[in-house]
Order: sequence, then C-alpha cells, then structure tokens
Amino acid sequence: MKEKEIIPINAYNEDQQEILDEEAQKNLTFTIGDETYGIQIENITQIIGIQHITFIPHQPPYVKGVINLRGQIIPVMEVRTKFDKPVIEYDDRTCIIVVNKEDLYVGLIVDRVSEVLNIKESEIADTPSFNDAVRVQYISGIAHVNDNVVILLDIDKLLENQ
Amino acid sequence: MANQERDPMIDMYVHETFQLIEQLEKVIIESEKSNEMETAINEIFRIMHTIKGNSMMMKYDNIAELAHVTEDLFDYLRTKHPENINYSHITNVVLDCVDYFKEEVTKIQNDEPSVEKAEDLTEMIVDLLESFKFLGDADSIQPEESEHGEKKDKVSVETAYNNLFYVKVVFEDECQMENIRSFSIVHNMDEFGCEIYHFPEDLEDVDQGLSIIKAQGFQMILNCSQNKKELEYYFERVSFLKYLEIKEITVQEFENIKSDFRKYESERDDISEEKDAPDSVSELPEEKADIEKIEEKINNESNLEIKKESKKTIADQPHSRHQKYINVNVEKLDLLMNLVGELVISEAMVTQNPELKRLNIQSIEKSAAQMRKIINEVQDIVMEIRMVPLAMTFQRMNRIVRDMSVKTNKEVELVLLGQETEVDKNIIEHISDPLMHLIRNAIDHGIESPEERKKSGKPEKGTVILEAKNSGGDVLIIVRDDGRGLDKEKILEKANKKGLLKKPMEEYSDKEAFSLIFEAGLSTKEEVTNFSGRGVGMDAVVKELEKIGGIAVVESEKGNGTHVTLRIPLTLAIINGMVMNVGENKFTLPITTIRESFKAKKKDIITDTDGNEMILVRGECYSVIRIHERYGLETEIDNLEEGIMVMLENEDLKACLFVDQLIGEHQVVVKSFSKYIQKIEGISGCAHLGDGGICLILDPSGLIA
Repeated sequence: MKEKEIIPINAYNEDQQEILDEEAQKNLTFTIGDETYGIQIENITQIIGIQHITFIPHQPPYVKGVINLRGQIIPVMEVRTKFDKPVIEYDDRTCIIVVNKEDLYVGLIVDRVSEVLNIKESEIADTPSFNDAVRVQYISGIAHVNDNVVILLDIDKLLENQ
Repeated sequence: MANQERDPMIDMYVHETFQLIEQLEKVIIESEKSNEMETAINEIFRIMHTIKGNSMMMKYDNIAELAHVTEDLFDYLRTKHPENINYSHITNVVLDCVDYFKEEVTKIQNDEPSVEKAEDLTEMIVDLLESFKFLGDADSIQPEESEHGEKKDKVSVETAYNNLFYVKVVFEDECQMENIRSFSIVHNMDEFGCEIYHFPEDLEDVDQGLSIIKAQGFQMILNCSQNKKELEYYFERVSFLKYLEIKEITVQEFENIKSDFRKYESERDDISEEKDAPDSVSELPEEKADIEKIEEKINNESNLEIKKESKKTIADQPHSRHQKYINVNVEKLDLLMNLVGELVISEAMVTQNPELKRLNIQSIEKSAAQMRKIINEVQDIVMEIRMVPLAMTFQRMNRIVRDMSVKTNKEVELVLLGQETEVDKNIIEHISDPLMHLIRNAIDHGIESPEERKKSGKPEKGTVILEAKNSGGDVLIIVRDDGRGLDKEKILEKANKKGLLKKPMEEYSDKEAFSLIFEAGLSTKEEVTNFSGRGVGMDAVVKELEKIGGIAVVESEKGNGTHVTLRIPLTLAIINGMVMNVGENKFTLPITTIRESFKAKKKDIITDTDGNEMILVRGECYSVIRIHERYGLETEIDNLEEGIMVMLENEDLKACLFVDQLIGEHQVVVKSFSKYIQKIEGISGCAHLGDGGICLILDPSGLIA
C-alpha cells in the first residue's frame, strides 16, 4: 500500500498498468535451510504434507521416487539435493509442492512453505553473476521484499531432468 | 446456444443410431436364419421409426428419408400381414439400408459432409411397397396411403376443416433444445399436411420461445386429416415427452384459440420484458375445455396403457436383450477407478488410526471389517466393468458370413463358441477388423463350392467356427474352417515369385510356410474377388493385432481346413500379478510369467568364476538375479536361503529372481511412469496396490536380457 501512495499523480495512468502487471506476479515462497525461494503461483497445483514415497531405482539422486496423489502417480524430487545442500530428515513441516508444467506433474520436497508474496517488477534484481549456494542456472531473478531476499526459481529449468 | 449444444447432441445421435443399426442387423439376420419374419417386423418397424425420428430432428434428411420409406414398408407388412411375400428380398433391402445408414452415420461422426442420397434404394423400397399393395387387397385403404395423398394436395387444405385438435406437449426437464424439438414436431405436422398454429410462434427465438416452452409446454392447434389415434401414435414416439395432451376441438374453439395465440404473440412482443406474461397465456385455452380435457385425458391414459403393454411384450422377447447394456465413457471409468483407489486409502487411514485402535472398541472393528469387504467388492467390480464380452463382436460376424455365402454361392454355417469371454474394452475395438478379414478369407479361400465338397465326401454346407477362450492371462480367438486347407507348395511358390522367401524352399517347415500368408502382398487365390485375394488383409490382421500385443498362428491340414489362432492379452490396464517385497519396496510380476517359486538350498547354488550366481533346479541351471543388488535396494535378507526364489519365463529364456518374500496375488492397475522418470531396465511401469501403496511392475524380458 505504501508504494501506491507515493505514485505521482501525473504518472498515474502509466503506472496503473504496471501495478496490474505486477500484481499478477504472485509467488509462493518456501525455505530450504536459511534461504527463501519463490515460484510463480500459476505453476502450482497443490501443496501437501510429506507422505510415503515409493523409491524408484536408477534415478538421479534428487529424484526420490513417486507418490500416489489422488490416484495419480507423481514423481517427487528433493530440491535440497538438487541444489547440492546437505540432506536433513523430513519433519512435520516438510512439504511437497506439486507443480505442473505442460501436463508434467512433479512434486518438490521443500523444508517448509512460507507464504504467498506479491512481488513487483521493481523489486526484482537481475540474476547475479556470482553464486554461493545455489546453481545460477535455476534462478530467474532475485527479489528484495521487506528486507528479505527471495530467490525466484525458473520452473522450466528446475524440472529438466538430465 | 444451439451451436454450443451441437456436439453432445451429435455424439448422442451417432451413438444411438449405431446401436439401433446394430440391433436392426441382428434382428434381420436372426429372422432370416429362422426363416420367419413375422416377429421381426414389429421390431424393425420400431427401429426404423426411431432412426427416422432422430435423424429428422438432427436434420439428416438423407437418412430420415430412407428410414421413412422403409418404415412405411414395414408398417404395411405389420398391419396387413400380406401373404406370398418374398422375404429374402426384403432382407436384402433392409441390409442395404443398414449399410447405407452405417456409411452415413460414420460420415456424421467424422464430420464429413453427406453426399450420396439413397435415391435408388428409396425408389426400390417405394416400388416394393407399391407392388405389395397392388398384390394385396385393393379395397382396403392404408392410413399411409391417405397420408401420402394428403401430402400431395396440401394446398387445398387451407380453408377446409377436417379434424381439429388442440395439442399440448411438455418436454422433460433435462432434454435440452426444446425449441428445436418443437420445431421438428411442427415440421412433421407440416409433412402430414396439417394446418398448424402454435404458441410460441417464433421457435428460433432462443431466449423467449425456449423459456416459454420450458415453462409451460408447447401448444398447437391442428387442422388435419389424421384421426386422433394417428396423432397419438405420432406424438407418443416423440422423444423426451413428459406430458401429452391431445383433444378434439370444434371449429369455433379452433378459431378462438388461433386468435388467442395471435393475441398473446402480440402481447408478448409489447411486454416482452415482463416475465409473467406467458404464464397468463396458457391458462386461457386450457380453461376453455376443462371438462373435455378431463375426459380426453382419461381416454388418453387408457390408450397409452394398452400401447405400453403391447410394447412390453415386444421388449420381453429375447432378441432385444441389448437393452441391458449402457455405454459409458471410458474416461469416467478411469476416474471411478482412481476414486475407488482413494476410497481404499482413506478407509485404511480411518480404520488403522492408531488412536482409535488403542480404544479397542469391538463394534468399530466389526463395522470396519464390513466396510472393508464392501470396498473391496466395489474395487473388483470397477475393474470388471472395463471388461466387455466378445458376444457383440462375434454377432457382427453373422452378417459377414451371410453376405459372403450369398455372393460366393457357398453354403456356410457360422458357429460361435465362448461368446461370453470377456476382454478389455480397448482390445475389443482392435479385434473386430482382423476377425472380419479372417472370416472372409476362410469362406472365400477355405470353404469349397458345394459340388467340390460333395466330391470330397464332406457335407455340402461348410462350417466356420469362431471360438474364444481364456488361456492364462491371454484370450485365444480361433477361427476354424473345414475347407480345403492351405496348400504349402502353392504358398511357397507364390512367395518365391514375390521374393518373400528368406531361405531355400525345401527348408520351410509347415508352420513357417503357413505364417507366410501374413506377409504383405501374398495371396494364393488366382483371381481377385470382391472380398479377398488382393493380398492385403492378412498382413493388416497382423498389424492390427500387434497394436494390442497379440499374435496370430496358423495351422492347417490339406483338405481338412485351417485354424487361425489369435492370442491376445486379456487387458492392457489390469494385470494379475504376484506382489513381492524387497526391503520396503514392493514389486509385481505378471503371474503368467512365473513358473514356480521355491526356497533355495545351499547345495544347489553355484557361483562361477566371475562371481555370477546360478541355481540348479531339477538338473537345469538358471542364473540368479538378486533384485536388491540390481536396483540398489536396502534389505536385511541377502542370504539366498532366507529369501525366496521366483522362477520366471519369458519366451524361451528362464531365470530365477531373488526377493525377500511373496506377499500374494493381486489384480493391479497398470500405470506408466511420468516422463520425468528415466527409463529403468526391467521395470515396465507401476501400479496401485489395494492399500494405496505403489508397486513397480517387473518386466521379465528386460530383467533377463
């Protein structure tokens, strides 16, 4: 709301369009370790608690297996492992975010789901060229919201399984 | 709106009409077989009438027209019972109609424009009817005749008052497109040569016309030559009618109602916004003849009842047993199957709830057991629903045999065995064409001409046996004829000419030679006939079968006939599997691939120099595949003596799988993996287990290779 109030009146029409566009950018944020990540909400089908995962052999280490979601068999991958972070035990806050990209459903195992955040264009900085914990290739941008840093993920690249 | 509704309506029409056509074909063939037409006439008449009605409503005039004349023909046969009629001629005509309908409806289904008009056929039927009428008693005048006469001098009706009626119909609530249905009534009445006024007048006005018809029914007054019975007869056959009222009215009333209609129409135009207007409308004409109405109603009802009863007796006859089936979208079944799967999981969640268990209440446990039983039954039935008996497909072959025997001048009898054998819906769709080819081939190539058969001491009538039976996880469909059999030399010679031989002619065994008939481009028949001999067909049979994982085998003895056996998997969606576990992981093997399972003894186990383990069973040596090693699974059992050996067989290869234990035999629903999962050698997919868990389906060919 604060931002809205300081919009200069003469520029209102132009900026209104921008606000609308910006509002469409809703992101679900989740955490892995101390970092917060965001994925665009339109890719998300469902969030469920951790459940029994059936192991599938001969897969990359981050593919943990499949789950039975309402009769549908959905592969799940552990984002932690995908990002080369140390393995931790699942607890009751561990969640599976089921994402959907062109009829491909995949569950993402994350430490915990935080909130749905409106992220505006102006808050997103370009992908930094340096990298400490996460491979840059999955990042579509970095957002600064209320003094927090949210790493925005590129769902297409995240779901590539090579 | 009409456009949006189009698709489901067309689908429904196509579906319904196909069913009717199938039924029609069956009835006519059966009647021909039993040499007795009488019982079939009513049925055929009824079917033709329904086809006509449906087609008219959908504006498929070509079909409607042909159905109409055929209906006339059968109405004549039905009412007049003429003698000395050549029924075989009629049978041929009806079958021609069936073919035409099939073709046209297929076109509709595929969204192709209909080009052909069945003029020849229509003319033929009209001529036929005329000739019957001519032969029949000239004195009695048919209602149909007067109907035709009326049609021709429709113009003269305008002022003359014949029979006047007030008709009100109300459609069923969910029937959709009431205005179009009303329009088709008006259209039909027009054809009867009626002078007709109706309310609401503008049937194309979707908003108002439709809402009035929906709210208070469709009213009309008729001035026509038909009597009440005939009108009743027509209206009873209009589909989706909830309420029907037909009453005779006087000239005065006719004029009154007519002007009333006009008045409402103009009123409606004036205050079309007002919703109440149409309500007051219907009251007036109804009040007018209250007493009459009640009387008529009673009459109507008693009439209806009589007719219903007579219909019932038709329906009770054995040849309409198709009515027991309904068709369901397979997607819905899949959905149902998933839902039942979920039901099973939530049942387990409730009844296995640890807190509930701690309370240890016996009554709950009892009820839970009952619930589990019911849910299991539901699950079984849902799986069974997908299975369809082969009867329908087999019955269709009667027609093929009949056509073939007429046109080839051979007497052939078709014997159907094991019609009740069930296979998955998806599979049925793929075996109809191959069977047709095989039967045509059997009659055209296999069965000899009656003279030839007599000479070789066989009964003049040839026999083709179509048999289905279960064999393990497969269904065998066997087409057997008692004809001349395959000629090995001829086949080889021909194959040689076409360059199909892969080794010297002499080296071909019978089996190999016969299987050459499934190669593209081979036909041993010297001349190409209408039905077979062009050398396509047999290879098409194999190709179609391959799509569903089936194979064909030919056996033949010269002079004694040919057997073609099609081996087809029972289902693509459900397999009977042995579930076993390795650590926490569950696997399923198709039960048909399992030879035996046993505990290994230390003395039978051999390890070769490369560390490969083998096991000796009754003097034969099989390699041991440890599932937990192969797939990197954790298990506490790695001593071959502790776990269990499962011997599996794939074609000619055998091997022993080592697993922790067997859990039991289950029917499982096969699911393929998401493309996100990388292909795993030896695992073909996964399946839901009854408890909501997932097991992996082992693929023997992948495991052994």
